[in-house]
Amino acid sequence: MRKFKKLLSLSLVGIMLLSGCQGGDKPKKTDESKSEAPSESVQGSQESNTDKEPTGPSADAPMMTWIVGNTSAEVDDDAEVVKMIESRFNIDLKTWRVDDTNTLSVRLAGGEMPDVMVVGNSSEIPNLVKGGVLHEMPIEDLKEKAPNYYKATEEYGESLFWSSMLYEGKNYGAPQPMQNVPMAMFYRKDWLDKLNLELPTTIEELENVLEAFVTQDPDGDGQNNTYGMAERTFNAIFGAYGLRCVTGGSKAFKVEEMQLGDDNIPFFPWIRPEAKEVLTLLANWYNRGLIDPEFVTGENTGGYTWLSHSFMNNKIGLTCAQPYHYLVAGTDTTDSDNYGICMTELKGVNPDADIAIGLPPKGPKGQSGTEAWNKSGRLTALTTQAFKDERVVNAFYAMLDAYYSDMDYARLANYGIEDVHWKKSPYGPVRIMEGTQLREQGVLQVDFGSTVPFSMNITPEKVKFGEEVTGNGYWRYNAPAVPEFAENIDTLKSLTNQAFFDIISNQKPIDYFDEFVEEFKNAGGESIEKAVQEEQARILAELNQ
Amino acid sequence: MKQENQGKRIRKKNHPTEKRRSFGKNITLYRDDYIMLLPGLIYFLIFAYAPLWGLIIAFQDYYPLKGIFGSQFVGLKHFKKLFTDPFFARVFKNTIIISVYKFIFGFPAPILLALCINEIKAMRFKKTMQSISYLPHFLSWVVVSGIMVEFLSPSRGPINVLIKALGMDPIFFIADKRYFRGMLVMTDMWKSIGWGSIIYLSSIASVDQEIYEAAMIDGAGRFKRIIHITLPALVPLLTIMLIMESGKLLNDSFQQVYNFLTPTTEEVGDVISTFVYRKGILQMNYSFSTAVNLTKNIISFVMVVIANTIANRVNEYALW
Repeated sequence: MRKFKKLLSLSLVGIMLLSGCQGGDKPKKTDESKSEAPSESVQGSQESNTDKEPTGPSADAPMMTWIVGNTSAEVDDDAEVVKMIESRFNIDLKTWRVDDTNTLSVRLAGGEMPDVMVVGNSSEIPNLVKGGVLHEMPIEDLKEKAPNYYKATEEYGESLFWSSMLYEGKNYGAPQPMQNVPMAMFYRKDWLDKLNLELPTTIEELENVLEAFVTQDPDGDGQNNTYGMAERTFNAIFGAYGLRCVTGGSKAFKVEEMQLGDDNIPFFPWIRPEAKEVLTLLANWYNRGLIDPEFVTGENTGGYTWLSHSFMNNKIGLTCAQPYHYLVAGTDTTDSDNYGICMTELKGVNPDADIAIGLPPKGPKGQSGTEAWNKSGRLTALTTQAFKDERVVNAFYAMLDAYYSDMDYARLANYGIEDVHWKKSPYGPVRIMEGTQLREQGVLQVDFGSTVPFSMNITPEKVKFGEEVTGNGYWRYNAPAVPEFAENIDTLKSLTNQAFFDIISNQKPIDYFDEFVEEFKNAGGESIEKAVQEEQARILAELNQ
Repeated sequence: MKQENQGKRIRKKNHPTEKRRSFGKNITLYRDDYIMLLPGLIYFLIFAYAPLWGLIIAFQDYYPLKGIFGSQFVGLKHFKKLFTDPFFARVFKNTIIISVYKFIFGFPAPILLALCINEIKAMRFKKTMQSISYLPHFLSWVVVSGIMVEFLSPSRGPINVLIKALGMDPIFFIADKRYFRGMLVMTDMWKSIGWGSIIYLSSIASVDQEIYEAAMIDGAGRFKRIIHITLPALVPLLTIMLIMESGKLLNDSFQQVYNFLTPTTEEVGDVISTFVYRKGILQMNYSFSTAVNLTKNIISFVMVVIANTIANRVNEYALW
């Protein structure tokens, strides 16, 4: 049986892969070609049934360049996953290496364009449209050419689902219905245990825990060199006061991310009176040494973004990240199969370290919550260049649809090949290759992330665990694109980050906040807020029709 | 060679009014020289003059894919926006202050180093010192900033370990407004001092040794020889370097500042280039950033002209 599988896989994979010399490890990888055929409209899927040699696309296949937000590696054009995707959709897939949005900006300025791109923030849409980069992607086309995708959006998409890529009444991308979980709060369990502390549930309790981390020498080295937390936990403190003020994986606050009120009215959380309360608290904590003064240069000092070096190196006892960054699908911290990338690293540096996950602390009014990402996924869009060749556009729709209709394909795009890139475990599929390497091999390049169908079918354990260990999430809201936003957001970013950092680090008095609010409003904050609110109301009315 | 050539032709043609030759004749006459000039000329045409055309976009709402011809002209819109920007005055001020600091401390530093190195008599030691001093020049700012963040860290950095050992509170150099500019100047000096001293060393080496010998016979000590022989010999070079530096006063080091800047130091450290980068590259306002840079370059140009005029008055070594 094994031999048969091996033969089958080899014949399908072709000569090229024979030289890959790990043929025996890859028996499952071509399952996608045998799975139930997606709907007839999906171009390319039939090809994969007839094409027995996934050694790449046919000679006349159109080239499709694709970029994902931040790609950490140059993709190997001859990688097996790339070849398999190419032959399935009959395209010559090229991925752009863009390590951050700036690189993309520079290339766009030079007149270069990919076919498929991910827009970092909906505020960039007006410039990209006016600059002739983005091409309209009518919802009707998506409905017709990617029916399975469209069905999923109807089933799982929220009320504002389509508003994220809408600009001047036209749709510019394919949002994804995501199955996300908010950030989890990771405490150093060995510290808590040593000091006989419980996981905190309120801000006061958290304060006591942090105080103990600072004063009672939790790492037992006899020196007063520990702090409570740093910038990655700020989001949970703001969350306890009902605000979504987040830093994500960066060192500064993401001022461009507005918050959507319960009444569906968007606003800037930065200038709310509650923000002053939080800043007062944080400034006080900083003064008492509960916040690592080096939060200014960040918890992460290089390498994979979500690593927190301060947390790993016994400097702080609390950090925030996605549950899967540390643990795949359970609270067991002894089984290395259950380790996410950050946990592996933590154990490598500090074998005695252990972690515990706490719920976000409750504030004075009982509110709580941590940062949560986009519920409508990456803002994947097609460019005007893609529309020069209809085959490229159709291939994109086919790839999109396949991600929703064919779970084996979705797994291939997201996880890669079994026993090469991932393996089965009681926790669901576990990646066995490090992120950069995975991307080099073409995995995580043309996927659409943890969409609802993907999560339900492929990683149910991960989702269940993630939901268990996290509390309320402040979901990212994609403000509808208005011209004022792009014009002034940069000034607001600088203003806010300076004010917040200065106040927290005691360089400016807390009363400076009122001055900052005035500056913020005058520098365009007020007019942006108004414009976004109006546009949002207009879109809501339009979508409700 | 030029003069020799000229002399030959004069004799051959026996032409008395040599100066009034036409341009075409000039070219045939000095063909070899012009051919040697050509690569440099082409370089400047392609990389310095041709791009000037692109300045047009400062007066347009420019989008790369529409190109210069397809984009709409908006007159002085971007300049107006620049002068009303809440950060413009601050950015301008920071740039000048940081540049002046760098000029005051950074300009004499390589000269002093060159004088010191020149006085070292042990050849092997001299070469080693020289090599070590210019090694940091080859490190990129990304690397240097990474090293410095660790080096100056209040918890892990050796400097602060020392400060703490002396019983003082650690200083967070990177994030403290009071130290940020000083830190920029220091790191810049550390990185460029050795490389900058090369040009002075070569100039010193060309000084006639007999002058030194004569001075020694007259009883001039080391210090006197430096003051009265080496430094005067450096004056022409110093003048040229000064004029060139004056043009760089508004040319901040983007890579350096960008890699060190944090929200707490933006107030004292945000400079024109980081500002342009945020506006232009991150927000894709290409026209706006071109307008900023054009403004900056006009000011720089004026400054060079002023410096040159002063140099003309003070001594005869001006650029033109």
